[in-house]
Amino acid sequence: MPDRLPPQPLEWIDRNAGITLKVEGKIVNGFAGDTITSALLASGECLVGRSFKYHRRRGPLSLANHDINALFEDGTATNIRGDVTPAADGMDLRPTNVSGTLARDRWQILGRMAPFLPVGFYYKAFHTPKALFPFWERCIRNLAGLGRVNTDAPMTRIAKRYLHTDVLVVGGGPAGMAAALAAADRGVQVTLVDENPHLGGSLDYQHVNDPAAAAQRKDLKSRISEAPGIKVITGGEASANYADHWVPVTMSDGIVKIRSRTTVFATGVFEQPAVFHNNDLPGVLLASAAQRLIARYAVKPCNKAVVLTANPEGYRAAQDLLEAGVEIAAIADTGDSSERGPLVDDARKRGIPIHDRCMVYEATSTGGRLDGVVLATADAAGKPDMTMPRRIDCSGLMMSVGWAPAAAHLYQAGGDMRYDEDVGQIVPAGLPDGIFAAGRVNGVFNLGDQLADGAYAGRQAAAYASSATPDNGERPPRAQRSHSHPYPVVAHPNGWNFVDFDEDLTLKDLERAADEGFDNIELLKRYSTIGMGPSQGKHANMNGIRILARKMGRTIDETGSTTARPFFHPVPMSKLAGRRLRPHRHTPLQEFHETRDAVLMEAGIWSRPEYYGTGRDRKTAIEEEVRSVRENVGIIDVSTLGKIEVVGPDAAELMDRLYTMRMSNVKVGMSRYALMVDESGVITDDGVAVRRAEDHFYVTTTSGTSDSAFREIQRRLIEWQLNVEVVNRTGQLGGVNVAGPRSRSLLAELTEINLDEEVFPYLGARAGRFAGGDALLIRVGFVGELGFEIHMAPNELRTAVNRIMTVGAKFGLRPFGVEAQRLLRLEKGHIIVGQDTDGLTNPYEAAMHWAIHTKKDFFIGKRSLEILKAKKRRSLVGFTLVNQMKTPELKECSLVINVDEIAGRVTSIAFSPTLGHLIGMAYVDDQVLEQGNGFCIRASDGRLVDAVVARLPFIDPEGLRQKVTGGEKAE
Amino acid sequence: MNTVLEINPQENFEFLHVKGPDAEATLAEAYGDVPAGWFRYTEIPDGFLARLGVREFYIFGRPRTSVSAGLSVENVYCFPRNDAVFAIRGHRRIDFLRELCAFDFAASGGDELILANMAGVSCWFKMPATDDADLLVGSDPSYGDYMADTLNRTLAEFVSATGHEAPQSER
Repeated sequence: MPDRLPPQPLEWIDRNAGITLKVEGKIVNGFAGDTITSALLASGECLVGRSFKYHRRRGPLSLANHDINALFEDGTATNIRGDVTPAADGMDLRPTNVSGTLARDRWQILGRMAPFLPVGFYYKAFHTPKALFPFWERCIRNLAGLGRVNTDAPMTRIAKRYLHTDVLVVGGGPAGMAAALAAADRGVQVTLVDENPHLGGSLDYQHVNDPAAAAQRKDLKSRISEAPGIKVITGGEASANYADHWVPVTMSDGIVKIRSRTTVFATGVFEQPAVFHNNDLPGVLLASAAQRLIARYAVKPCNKAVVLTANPEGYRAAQDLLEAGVEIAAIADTGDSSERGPLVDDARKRGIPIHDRCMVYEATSTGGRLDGVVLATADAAGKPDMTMPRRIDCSGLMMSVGWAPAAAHLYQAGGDMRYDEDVGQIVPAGLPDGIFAAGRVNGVFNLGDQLADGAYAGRQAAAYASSATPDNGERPPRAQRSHSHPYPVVAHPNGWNFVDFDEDLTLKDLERAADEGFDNIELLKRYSTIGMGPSQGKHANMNGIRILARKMGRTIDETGSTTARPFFHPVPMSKLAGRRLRPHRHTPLQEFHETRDAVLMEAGIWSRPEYYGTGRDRKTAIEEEVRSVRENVGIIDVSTLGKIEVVGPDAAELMDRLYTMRMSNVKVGMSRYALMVDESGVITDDGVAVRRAEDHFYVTTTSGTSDSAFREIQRRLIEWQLNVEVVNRTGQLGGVNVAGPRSRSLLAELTEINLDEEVFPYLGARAGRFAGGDALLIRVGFVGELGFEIHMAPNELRTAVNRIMTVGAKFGLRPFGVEAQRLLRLEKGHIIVGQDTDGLTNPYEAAMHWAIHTKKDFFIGKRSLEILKAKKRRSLVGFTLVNQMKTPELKECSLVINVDEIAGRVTSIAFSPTLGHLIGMAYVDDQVLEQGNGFCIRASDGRLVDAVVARLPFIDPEGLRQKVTGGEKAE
Repeated sequence: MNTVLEINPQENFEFLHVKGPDAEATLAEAYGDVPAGWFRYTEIPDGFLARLGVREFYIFGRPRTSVSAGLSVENVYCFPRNDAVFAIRGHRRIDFLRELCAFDFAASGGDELILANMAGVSCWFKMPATDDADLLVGSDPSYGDYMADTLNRTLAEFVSATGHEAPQSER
């Protein structure tokens, strides 16, 4: 590890725990606590990645989670951020976005093609010839991009947990720590979150050699460790700010969703790069990155450095570099060094040459690594005066030209942000209630002021959280002198002056985009893609705004900034998926289905038998189930139906208002089809309403709408203030439908209820004992056969079904699944809401005029239906095919075509085992139906198939099978 | 309390959802003390009586305690519930619940019946009055298998991550 420094006072590495990893097959040694990048740099490497577009050589930039040119993959995960991901023993990595090796990337040739690849080139090129576009698209996707997703990567369950606190403080730097302590002192519960593995923030890398800071550091950290009211979470990124103080914190082992009463954002600032020719050479990095390398990882950034600075922080960085044994060739101050404070004197005393009012014009390289910089004096207009350029040899250039606030959370909270000319930074101008900002994100730079600002925010937050009187103490001032250069951008005839390192965007790209009319910051962003890379503009947006502002002659505020959407940092999909929880419901008969070899399907949130396998193929099994119902008797689990109790003096009134048919005249012990429409007359649900008593209805809904129907009923009940109670018992009860000509004989052996036609007619309902339990039996005919729905408590239903199966053996009973049921009801011409209706279907279109009782004073949707009745333009019709032989594939949703125009669609289609041919239902435009009984359906292969309207139902139009009284004896 | 964290399904209970204008008066007559506040419960012999609204209650009891006795009167409507119910006891159970539920259980009192969503399912939580009493969680029975699987898997992960020993709970 040639570039490893002697032990540093605050280093994160554990020198007693050596680790070995591989990068491109090469062994890299490091220590526990290293990141991948720091281990590479300590080993003498300077190259950590290749750029996105031109595959240029790139070194570290920030060491702060923004180095998107230092991305790696390990075969499972991709886009592993080298600058912050802990290096681990045994890692085997290869760089992302490299074709070949880091040292020899075959696509670096793209740099020579840059003149042909200007900003937005892909919007302008490849349009013609059209046939070649897929080829170009494939090429671009292969060349660009950030690694490949391994779709075979093992599925992981990652925690997503919750935490509540009074005050959440985001940022564990000096201001954040001070805020946490001040809030905790007021007796509230505080959670302090920092993305780094240790608290300290800039205090621990920018003030390492500041004796005054040492005492403050020790005091802050010891008090926090001893404060019982402060919970510290390190290694967690506050990924976003949502409404009501809801902050997801992304950690290595998952996401913690923190809900607080109030939040203090002490998120600090991002150091911004200067823009000059070759500012992306390995060896050019942010001054704060150099300080992080030294302080945290004990890595020497270079041997000989030039520091480019526009603030006092650059002088402190020079001091730290000197302490680390780095020779400082020069400090290039963009302004007047006499205004930078006492650190300048220290630099002079140490013999460092300081050049005032100058800028880096270009960086030069040997072998792809920085070997020197050319400085130029800034003229009155701020442009480089190249009459007396000054070349300085160096192996490192540390940029300290300014900062941008880490204000994404404040923007997301709805904060008002304004550019402060004094601070040279965008700062909060107004924040929503309960949101506080402290420290450098608030424009406060002096360390003492940061601590005071944090404490002030902490006190305010505590008062807010506990509804106490806010602190009226004085808030420390923001920086009086700018810490950021107003335009750290230098044009160069040869370009390569990068503004966005993520997307390889140069100054010329942005200027050209503005020239082309993309003169609004949001448009510029979308056209040029500035800020759209993985770092989300953290080191690019501020310079982009400055460039556009200058180009358009506007101020920073007039130019504005782009929207800061969640997430603050990219969050892996696996962490968003969390534990991959997927709620699903089982009926009481789940075990029954499993033991009978049912092929289960997802029916919404429910698991239901599609059919019962028992060794047969799907088609055969379904057809056998259909025949069983038509010829003998079948049983199907209908526990998924919604089951709602409506009880109380106004129950009938409520039912009349909810459903299209009159319910108040249903006799006790009888049931009626229950069709529900919304206020626009669209069908939303159907079921059966049983009148159990004068003041008691029991209503079923379709399986998929039980919750929404119940919610609607509750809402209406509140609105209408009727004296009724409603209870959703969907999951509390189970149900089966026993259907077929032998159903009555079978069930008669299991109940004391008289099932004879004369006393228990079609649509009748009877409560009583059945197979040892309490049951409600309803005469229904959904599948077009004599049938009884049996509703019982889950445990009793399980027992009852076992007894039905035992007794039913002699009647030829067999269970049938959802597919057979769909087919049976299609033969009968019954609709399924959601399949044969859509979000626009009204009852008149669905041929359900009979279900609309317009003589009622009121029901939901009545007025709309009165209007719609006269405006009907399509009808649901049954159809068969003219030629049943060699029919191409038709599906539900196949289109009805009339003279090349869409004239409807198929909603249901299946082969009827009973009839021996295909049958279906379709919506067809009335205009087409007026022309005759025929219409065309477009098959999957594009051919048109002739269909003919068929009368519904396809079988038993008189309904005799539902009332069968003979031929039902056991064999 | 420093006992092993465990989850046990509850199977033998009688559970009623009681609604109606006269529910409160009738329950007061049958049980004496009816909670005044919404989402509060009072203990009854081998069970609890919880108020969900002005005229809506849950009564939970051990079998054969006949919780419905005396409730068959006009304007009182009783519906049996067959919920999937789990008893959670042991050290750090509130932390465990944070793995699956957004509700702030730490801020709730010992007489609260909380309705909240856990793991995507609407549940009720009977918060225990004492540390050594069970915390009961119930959901619609159709979610029973899912809840049992989710609770057990998450418990195993929680124990593994936090280092607290716990046996695999029963299904």
